[in-house]
Amino acid sequence: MKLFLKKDAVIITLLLLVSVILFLFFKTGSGSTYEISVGKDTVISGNLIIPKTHTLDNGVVIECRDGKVRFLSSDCPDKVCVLAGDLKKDGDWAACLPNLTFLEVVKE
Amino acid sequence: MKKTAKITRLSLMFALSLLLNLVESLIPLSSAFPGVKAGLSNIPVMFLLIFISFPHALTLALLKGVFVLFSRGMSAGILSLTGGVFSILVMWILKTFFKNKISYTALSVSGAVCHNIAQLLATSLIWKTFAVWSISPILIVSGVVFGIVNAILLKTALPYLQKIKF
Repeated sequence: MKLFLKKDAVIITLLLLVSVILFLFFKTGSGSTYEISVGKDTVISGNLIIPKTHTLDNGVVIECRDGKVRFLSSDCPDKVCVLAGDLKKDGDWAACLPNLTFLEVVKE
Repeated sequence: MKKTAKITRLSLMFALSLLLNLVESLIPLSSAFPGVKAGLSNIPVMFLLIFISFPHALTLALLKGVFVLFSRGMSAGILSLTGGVFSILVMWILKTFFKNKISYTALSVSGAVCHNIAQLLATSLIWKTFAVWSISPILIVSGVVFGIVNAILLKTALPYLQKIKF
């Protein structure tokens, strides 16, 4: 079996093309509200304009400030949620899987 | 090869996977790109799939998934299992269909991209949201990039892996 064949370039180009199309499809303007879900239920809805800090029952702290919302702190081992940073555009999301917490910016 | 030798080889590949998992966690990719992983721990799985057999490769994928389940919890475990099993199935189908006319790169890239798509699908079903698909472009690109990297690493490690005899 060879490492690389000429037709691989075709496959790779096609995949990159698909990713560009998906990227353009998901580019949207600024959202206005965010929703915090724990498990299946949407627990909190908030407006991005209003600064607020939410401390959830599972120890997750979510902060809304300057028109952006983010995971401020969490007791999970990996902290992927906190590292995700600021969410401000419609469709932006971050999640803390160990705490089953999902944060999403929604156009309302 | 005797049965104990086969089991020993599988265990060695499993240990290798875990070690590679540790190594790739030292590279800080998650901060720049959420959900992106280097997938180095899949190199032993690919080796088993291409050079040993599908059942061996599948067993390793399941072992990895169960390990993640015990060490990092339910959500991470489900993701590892769905991604791992789906990518192995796809790679096996491709290898069976194309036999030797496919390249390491094509197999590895297909496996990597399918791994990521399957995980995205699982996440969107668990949270019942379509919004997660917004990171699909990054996942496809990283699948392509690391698919290529892993294929190269596999090819490089091949002489050493094939020297392992019990």
